[in-house]
Amino acid sequence: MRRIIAEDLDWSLATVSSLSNLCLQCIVNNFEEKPIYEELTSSEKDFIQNRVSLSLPLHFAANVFPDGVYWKRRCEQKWKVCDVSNYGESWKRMFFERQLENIIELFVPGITEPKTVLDMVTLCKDHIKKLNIAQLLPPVKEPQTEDEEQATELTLENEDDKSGMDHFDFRILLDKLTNLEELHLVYKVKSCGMNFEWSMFEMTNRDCESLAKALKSCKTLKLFRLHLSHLEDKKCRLLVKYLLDHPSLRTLDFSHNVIGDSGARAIGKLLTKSKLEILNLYDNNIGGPGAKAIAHALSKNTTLVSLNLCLNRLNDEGGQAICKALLNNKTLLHLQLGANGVTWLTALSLSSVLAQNNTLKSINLSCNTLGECCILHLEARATKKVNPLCHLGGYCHRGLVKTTSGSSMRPSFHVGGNALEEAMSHNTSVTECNIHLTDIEERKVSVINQMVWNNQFRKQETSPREKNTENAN
Amino acid sequence: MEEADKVHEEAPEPPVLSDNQEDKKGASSFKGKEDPTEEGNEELKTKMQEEKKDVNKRIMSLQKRLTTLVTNIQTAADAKEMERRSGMEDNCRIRDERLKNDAKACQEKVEEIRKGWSIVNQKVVHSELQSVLDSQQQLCAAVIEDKKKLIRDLQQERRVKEDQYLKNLRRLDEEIKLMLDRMQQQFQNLSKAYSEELTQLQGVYQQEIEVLLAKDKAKLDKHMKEHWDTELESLMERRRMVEESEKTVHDVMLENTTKIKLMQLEENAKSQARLREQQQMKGKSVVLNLKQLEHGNKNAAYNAKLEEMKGKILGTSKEVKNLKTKYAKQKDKFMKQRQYLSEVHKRSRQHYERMQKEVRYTTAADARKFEEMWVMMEEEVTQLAEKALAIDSLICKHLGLAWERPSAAFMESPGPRRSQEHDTNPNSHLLQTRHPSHCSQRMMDASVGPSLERDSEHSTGVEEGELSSETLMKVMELLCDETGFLVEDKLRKLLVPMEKNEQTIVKLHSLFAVLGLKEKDLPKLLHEFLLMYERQQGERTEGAEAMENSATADSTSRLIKPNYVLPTLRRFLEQHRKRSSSHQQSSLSHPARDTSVEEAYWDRLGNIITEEKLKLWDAAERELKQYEEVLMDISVLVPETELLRQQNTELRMQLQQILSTVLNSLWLSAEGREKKSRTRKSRPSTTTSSITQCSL
Repeated sequence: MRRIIAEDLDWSLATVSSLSNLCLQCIVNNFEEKPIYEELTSSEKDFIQNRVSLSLPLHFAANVFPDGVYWKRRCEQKWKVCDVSNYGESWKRMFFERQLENIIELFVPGITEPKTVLDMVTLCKDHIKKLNIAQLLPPVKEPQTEDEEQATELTLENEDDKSGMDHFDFRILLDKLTNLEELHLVYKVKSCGMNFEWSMFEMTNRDCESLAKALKSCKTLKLFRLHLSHLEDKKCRLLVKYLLDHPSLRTLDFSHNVIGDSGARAIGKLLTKSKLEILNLYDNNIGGPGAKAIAHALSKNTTLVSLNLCLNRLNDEGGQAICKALLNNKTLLHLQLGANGVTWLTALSLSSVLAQNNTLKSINLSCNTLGECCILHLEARATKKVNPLCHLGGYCHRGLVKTTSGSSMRPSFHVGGNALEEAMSHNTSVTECNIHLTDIEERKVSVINQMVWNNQFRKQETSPREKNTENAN
Repeated sequence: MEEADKVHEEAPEPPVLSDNQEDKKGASSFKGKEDPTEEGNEELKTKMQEEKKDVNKRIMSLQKRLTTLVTNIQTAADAKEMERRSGMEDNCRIRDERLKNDAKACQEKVEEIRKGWSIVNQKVVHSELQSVLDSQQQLCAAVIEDKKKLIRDLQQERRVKEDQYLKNLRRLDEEIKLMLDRMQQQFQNLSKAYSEELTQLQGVYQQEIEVLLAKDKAKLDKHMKEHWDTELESLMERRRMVEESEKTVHDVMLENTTKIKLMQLEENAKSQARLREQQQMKGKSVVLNLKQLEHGNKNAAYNAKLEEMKGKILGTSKEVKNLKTKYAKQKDKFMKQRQYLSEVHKRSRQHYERMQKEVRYTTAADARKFEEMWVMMEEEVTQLAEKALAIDSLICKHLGLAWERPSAAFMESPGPRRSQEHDTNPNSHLLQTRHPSHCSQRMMDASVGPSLERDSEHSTGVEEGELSSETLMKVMELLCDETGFLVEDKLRKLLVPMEKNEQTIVKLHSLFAVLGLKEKDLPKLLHEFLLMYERQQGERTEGAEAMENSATADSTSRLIKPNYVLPTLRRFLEQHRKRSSSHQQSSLSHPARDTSVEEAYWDRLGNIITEEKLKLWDAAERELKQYEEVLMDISVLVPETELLRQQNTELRMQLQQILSTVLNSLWLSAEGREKKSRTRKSRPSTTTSSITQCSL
């Protein structure tokens, strides 16, 4: 030993690991044959977690290791980007969720054995809280001759449920995941390239039915998101029907689908029955009647906090209905009506709401022509067809006066802007107001923004001041 | 569209900035207003609050900018989507209209064709028909042309749309790129803004810190200054005090030195006086010393010697002590040993005595038993003899011989044993005489050990009655003188100064020790001497030569001659030795019995029946036996005769009976058959005769 020290300048006692470390190393090397873990101290556990081979069979490791370094290593080995904060700071949860997502995303009905999913589910059912499935593969279509295709085309349409184009059946999965809270689904195929077919981007009726039943069986689900899946009225109704009595659902997201008025009606029914807090119907096809149904439900609802109806076809009919409903509603905090083709009429009714309601916090009216739509109204007045919905005719008169004075000029009566400005001066609760691209005068926009800003600032100030006073007391 | 986007996205930015600036200005002005009114910590606090508010505002504005950017992009996208939708709707409408118009035109034309067909039916003339058909064909062609045109148009439109779509895609791509660029830019801007914000905040805080630091420093300086001042004052005071104390110390020291000097002077004077005295004393002492030295030398020598002696004495005393202790130890040890041994000795002695007693008792018991047996045997034997004699007499009487008793005296006299019991034979007498003396001696020994002379005197006195103490003494003296050669010279020397009596006693002791005698044997010895003397006397009287003795008879009338002392002594010793051995034997074995007497006795008894008599007895026996045999034969025959006699009688009885019956019958048939009956009569008579013969 001495000699070694003398000759080797780099030699040091520290490189000779202690016996306990050697023992632990031995345990690590033989971990699969003889797992010793629970008896160890926390530091020794860390040692083992840091060194145990990552190729251990999952069913073995899942039962031995709790959340910790081992799962972090496995995650980092498998994926480049690992943001554990999205998974409740649990590496194990992250690993299993992503693993299961991978399996489901690569599941090809008819070819992949459902057992692979079930095996995984038995291992990870306690850890999975969120499933974000970004694609669902259709079954492989057997190459058919053109004649046959033409021949079967008709039959396909007739009995399209039996087409064999069903995706992964969630019924085998969801009732087993006892901790599942969030489910994000997209019926699409990533990077399909030149194999593009519309059927790849929509769900079949049987898919819809199985999914609805699966959702019903999953009692812990809080968030359900089905987007970019070409969800039609019929399927939407089917889903909603099964979700009516769901005990825990709080958030529903059907954004980027093609839900129409009848689907919206069904959702309105859902609003009255369930305890939904957040409803997102962004980018759908909901028109005035559907919006009316939703508004009707909204006037009775006491749980909904956020309603997103951006990029629909509400028009003034739906917008005004919703604004009316808000006169009775005291719970809604966030309302988004952007890009709905609403005009100053809705703005007027909304301003009347803002003057009274002090619960709304954020409003989005962007991409609506709030300013210039009075031309229609003027035209209507000119043709003696007074819109009965126009409650604030005074503005129109003034506008009329103005138009008479400047006859050939394009009328620029900023009725909506004025109304909103006036309403905001009375309101203290709104802290966000998006009125971009609404043809409102820039000056007024800045004024409104200033008011919103003041509200926001006041709110920010009040809370610390209250705290201060409390402290002083 | 892009431009619009840009405009709309960039539009909200300046007001925010202006707001910020305004806010800052407002805040600063606010600060400016409030600064002079408030003072100290409150001012600072408010300042801090203000700054915090400011910071909050700035952060909020930043957040808002961030969100506005995002929302702007989203709204732009929404707007685009809206536009796309409206465009699509428009296109659809236009197409629909176009299709409708086309359909209308088509229908008109088809109507026309139909009408044409009705005309065709009406027309009969070939040429007309031909022309109508042509026109119809033309119309059809026109319709087809229209359709084709429409299709072409639509295809054209589609192509245009495709191009447009491609362009759109490209544009989107560009837009996305642009957006990315912008996002990057915004990101940079934001980070820049944030960093600026940070530096600003840092600056603010730094200022604050500086202010605070300056304040603290000032305070510290002030405090320090005060502290230093007080310190300085105290130091000055201390210095003054020190100086004062130094002065006083100096004075005191001066005083002390003068005092000390005075005292030193006095002391010097005194010491000088003392020195003088000392010198005088020294002179005296020198003389004395000289004297003392001489003494000292001598003393030293003595002392050395004394020391040596002392050392020796000490050594010896030590040795003595050691020896003493050793001695004491040894003594103890020996004492213990002696005690132990004496105990052992006592025990063994007791044991021995007990054994002796037992032996004596058993021997006595055996002797008695033997005697009894003997007596019994003798009795039996005499009885047997008596019996034999009786038998002899009987035999004699039987034979008819005269019998006389052999010797009645002998028969009457009892056996030698029985006679012993009654009278004392000479042997036992000797023993008996010896025993009592022995016993008495022993008793005396046990009772009075040391007073030997008196005892012996007494005993001799008792036995002889004539032995006086004087004679005894004389005898003893004589004995001592004669056996003087046996006594050691040393003893004799030692005995010289003693009295005569004592001398004799001591000499006797030593003598006894030499001869192996005991004190108890002394009286015996004396007795023997005396006996000897008497015998001598007797001899002399018989031998008539004891004239010399008689001459001295008066003085030592009863003393033996000194010349005989030694032989007598020797004899006594021999006797003594024998006796002691015999005594030992006698205590164990019976005294020897007189076997000859007994033999004679037994012989006599055995021969009480003489040989002749025995021969006679034998002959008589033989005769008697013969006689017995004859008698036995007779005795055998007697029952036979008896039987025969009986039979005879029976037969006689039968005969008589038969005779009587025959006579009766004869009597009955007497006359008729006389002849016959005679024959018959003869027959029975023969039978009877035969019977009588037989019986006879």
